Amino acid sequence: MPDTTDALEKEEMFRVIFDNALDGVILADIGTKRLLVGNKTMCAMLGYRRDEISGLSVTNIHPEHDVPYVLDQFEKQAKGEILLAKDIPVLRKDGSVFFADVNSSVVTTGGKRCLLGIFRDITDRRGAEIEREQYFRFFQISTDIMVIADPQGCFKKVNPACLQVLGYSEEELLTKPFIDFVHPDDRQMTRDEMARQIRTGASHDFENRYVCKDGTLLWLSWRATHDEGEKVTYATARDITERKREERALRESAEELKKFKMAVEAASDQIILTDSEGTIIYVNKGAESFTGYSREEVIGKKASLWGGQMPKGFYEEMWKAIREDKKPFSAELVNRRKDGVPYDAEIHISPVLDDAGAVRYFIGVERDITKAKEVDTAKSEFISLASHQMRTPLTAVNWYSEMLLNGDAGELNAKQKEYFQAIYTAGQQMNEIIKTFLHILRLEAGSGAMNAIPVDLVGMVQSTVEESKLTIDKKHLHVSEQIQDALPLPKIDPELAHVILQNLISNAVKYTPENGGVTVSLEKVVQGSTVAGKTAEADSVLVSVHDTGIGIAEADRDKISTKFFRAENAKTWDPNGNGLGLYMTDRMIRTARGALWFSSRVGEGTTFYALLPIGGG
Amino acid sequence: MTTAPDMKKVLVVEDDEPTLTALRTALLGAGLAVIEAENGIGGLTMALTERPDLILLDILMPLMDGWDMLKQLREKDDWGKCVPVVILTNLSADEDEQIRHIAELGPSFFLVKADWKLEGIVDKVLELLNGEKVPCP
Repeated sequence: MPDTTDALEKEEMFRVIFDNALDGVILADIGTKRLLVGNKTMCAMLGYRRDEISGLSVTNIHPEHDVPYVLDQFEKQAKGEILLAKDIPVLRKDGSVFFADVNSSVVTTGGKRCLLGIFRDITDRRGAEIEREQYFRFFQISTDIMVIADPQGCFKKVNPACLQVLGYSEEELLTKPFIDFVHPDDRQMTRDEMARQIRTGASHDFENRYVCKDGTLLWLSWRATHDEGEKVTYATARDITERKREERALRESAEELKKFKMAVEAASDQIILTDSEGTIIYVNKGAESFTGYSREEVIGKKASLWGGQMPKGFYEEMWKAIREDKKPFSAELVNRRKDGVPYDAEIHISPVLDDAGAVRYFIGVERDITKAKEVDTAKSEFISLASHQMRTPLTAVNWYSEMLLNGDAGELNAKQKEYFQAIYTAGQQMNEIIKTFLHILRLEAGSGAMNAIPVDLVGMVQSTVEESKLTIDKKHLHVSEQIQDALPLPKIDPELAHVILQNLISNAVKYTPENGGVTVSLEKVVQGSTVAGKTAEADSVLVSVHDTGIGIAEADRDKISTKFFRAENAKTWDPNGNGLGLYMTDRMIRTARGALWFSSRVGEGTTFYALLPIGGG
Repeated sequence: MTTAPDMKKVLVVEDDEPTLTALRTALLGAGLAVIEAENGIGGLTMALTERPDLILLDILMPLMDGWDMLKQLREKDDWGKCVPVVILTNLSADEDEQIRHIAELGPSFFLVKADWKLEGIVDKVLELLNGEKVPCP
């Protein structure tokens, strides 16, 4: 039976094909959803024996929660609506799942409508897709810039971070060569980097600056690698602008610190840093050459190593100022070098406080003023010589006019008397001016003996008033003194005290009109109490000189004690003043650590207050 | 120069001619005998030989200044130690050096010429000559 033989051979051929197909093939009853037969590959895919398959339902070979979807697809395929069901999860006997694309066709066999499903395992393909999907996710969410560039120098792909960081639209970035976005100064370097990338194929790191859409410059740190096969360059970049800025700030502050250190090191003054106990932490080179001690010898020690030459009270005052009052302290003192030679120094010590206000360090700056002292001495010698030289001819002028006026050379007529009187008066004035200049020179040189001794201000006020007696009488001024009982004697240089009183009293007398009044008061003021708007910093004697004179205009208030200044009303009143009196008085009072101030009303009068500390300056 | 035995004798040591002349005139006018020297060396010799009742002494002078002269005078003998001396100068008394010398050598007065009338100086001299003997410095 050739037909039968043929039929058998055909069936055998189909079976061979059926079993050896690379895809899984299964036949399912559309009505009952039962599986009828599966090929070898299908059995291997599912892990069932062939005889086991024919007992299963379609619902047995898919994960339970996917069954509704699978059945839906099954129905659609059975109706011929779709041929291919993609990504169908398939459940193995061992419970694991794989994904398959299922191609189907409706067949009728043995009178039953069946669906012939051809399953292709897409696990591998799907894995690759997922992986790609995952990588794409990274590409999307990365805060670093990621780009793919072609060899022509254009971006082919940029991630959202790139758009966000640079501020350009995707279109802008993809249509122009990326080099256009690079800072002009960095373009050549960037081209070189790209060329190297392509040449070597290795990953390269480099940094360049990009110009953002808003014009700001960003530093980007790149890692790029060239794929010769695909002819593209992959690159990632990170915005390091902030880091660069910090690096630069750090570099600058390090540079700055270096400069400070150099300056401190190179300063000719000696600079010392100690802890709050005065233990030396640092000294500069100046201190080494100054004191003759090496750095190693002084660190960890106290500055008394080369100090300690002053009276105990000096150091007590110093420590009180810097440690208790936490104030800077300045003074002149004598120190001694390692070799025993003493030197004059000027010191400034400042406490450095922490946030809580406690002393952390002391910074001491010490300057050798031995030389300056010598200059000072030379200056005062010059001053005294000049004083002698000017006063000698002046003495002759004064004495000879005095003799002529006395009639020692014969009787003078009225005119002669008048003229010699003018010469005599001018000579006296000249002498006052010389004295004033000498006082000022001495004060400004800061030299000269401030011979502070307890001074009887009461007697001095009386004798000073007496000096102005001529004017007082001529103008019929009423001058009174109000002296507090048991007034202490302030310690002050008597010459200074005299000049101070002389200026204040003679000013009051000079600027008060006829029949006016001048009152000089002396009273004790205790430390901390307030008089005429000022608080006394120490127990003091207050000298107040009140007059009913022309007054000082508000506009002149701040200038009244400046050198050579004369108020308009004072100039009109007395054209001959030199503008030095109050300047000198103020300086002298400050030298004595006192204070000078006043209250005044134009046309009504003025009161000058001079506060002289009892303890002296 | 002859002097009456009861006339007080004043030595003026002064290098500036006009100053010396004015002082001489004023002192003579006050009835005093005046002897003179132009510097410390002459002044010291004159003082030791003439033993004046008082010395008016300038400081800045050539050859030997007033302080040197006074120092030698004070060290010489009892008379030198006690003779009243008025420093008459144009240096200021408030300079360290002057204060030191004043303390050491004990002049009766330290007068700044430019600050004093001749009349005032003569008054000081008479006050010293006629006043109570002050203890030696």
